[in-house]
Amino acid sequence: MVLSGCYSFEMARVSKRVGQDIERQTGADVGGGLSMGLGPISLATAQAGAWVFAPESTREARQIGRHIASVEFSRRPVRGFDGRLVERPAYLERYTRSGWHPFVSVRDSASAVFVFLRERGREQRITNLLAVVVAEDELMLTKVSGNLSAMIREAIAVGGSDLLGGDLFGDALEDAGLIESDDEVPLPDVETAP
Amino acid sequence: MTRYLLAALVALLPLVAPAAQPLDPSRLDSMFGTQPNIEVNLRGSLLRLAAEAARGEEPEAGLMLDGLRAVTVRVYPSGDNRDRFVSRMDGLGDELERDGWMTMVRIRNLPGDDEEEDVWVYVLDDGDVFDGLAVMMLDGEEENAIFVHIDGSIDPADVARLTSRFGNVDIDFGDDDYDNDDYGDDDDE
Repeated sequence: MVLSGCYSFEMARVSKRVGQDIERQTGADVGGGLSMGLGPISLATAQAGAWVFAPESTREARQIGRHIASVEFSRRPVRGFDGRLVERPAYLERYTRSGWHPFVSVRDSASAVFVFLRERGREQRITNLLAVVVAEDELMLTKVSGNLSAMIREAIAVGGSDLLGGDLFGDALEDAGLIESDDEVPLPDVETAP
Repeated sequence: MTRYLLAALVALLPLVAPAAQPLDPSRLDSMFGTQPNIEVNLRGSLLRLAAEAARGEEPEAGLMLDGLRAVTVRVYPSGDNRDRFVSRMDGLGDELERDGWMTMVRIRNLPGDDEEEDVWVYVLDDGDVFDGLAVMMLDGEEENAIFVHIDGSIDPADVARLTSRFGNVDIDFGDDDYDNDDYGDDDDE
């Protein structure tokens, strides 16, 4: 995986087991899928291609992406699921046992998102992130490794939090209060007595 | 002899005086008998990043986040089990008080009230600042039970701002205490 994009055995295994957990919890049907990994050379090639063909429109993405050492992902079709019934997949407990911790999880009728991360070193830098997203009839797992503290810092600095959204985080960073939302969300009002 | 006795008493004092206990949010899932619909665990480097991010545009918000050690948010679906949730949250509130927390706000929803909200706000008093904040809210309209625990040094003036940011619970202490203009928000409450 260091040299080029290739099949990711880890993501294939994890997504299969997570899919089985979701089938058991919700009665949904999770199909077979595609699992890939991109190493530093593949990512550098993609960065170079983006710089050559669309230097302006990809500037922020390239700036943020240079902190990523590898990306692994897996995608499987899901039919007939209710996100409210999706509990944290039991298979992911093995991640929490090896130093990962749950950062955000959000469940509603249309989707379920679970984001885990791992910090390492004396400065507790974020080095790994795993996002499990069930939405729009798909189970999507993404594992990102690298200097993710720097990546998030840069994303916030360039105002490119949208680049961290979508399939990877959804609105998780805003839900977590890490990035303040621009949208005016109607809040439940509570007035205290004087 | 008296000197040794005093020294021994001083050494024993921390053991005798009941120290305020931090809250363990991991017990909540079993207490409410379900997994949360929303779970947020912010700590360590992510909190530092949030503080850094805020510092550029809103220095006051950056300072507010600097003192925090951890932020935990849980939102549970309460469905039509309102009474059961109120009872459990009351129980949790009693437990917090026994552990040294102070009740800051308690709003009880009474039959016939327009607003279907029960609110509990507890703080760990530490002199001029709070050393912890726990907010619980039962939102009858959305059928959600919201739980926010903020661990760290908190300026009392930041309570409303913090609960709004991390739990989407807007506590209005009056314009003097929580002025949105301080944070560049032009909307009137």
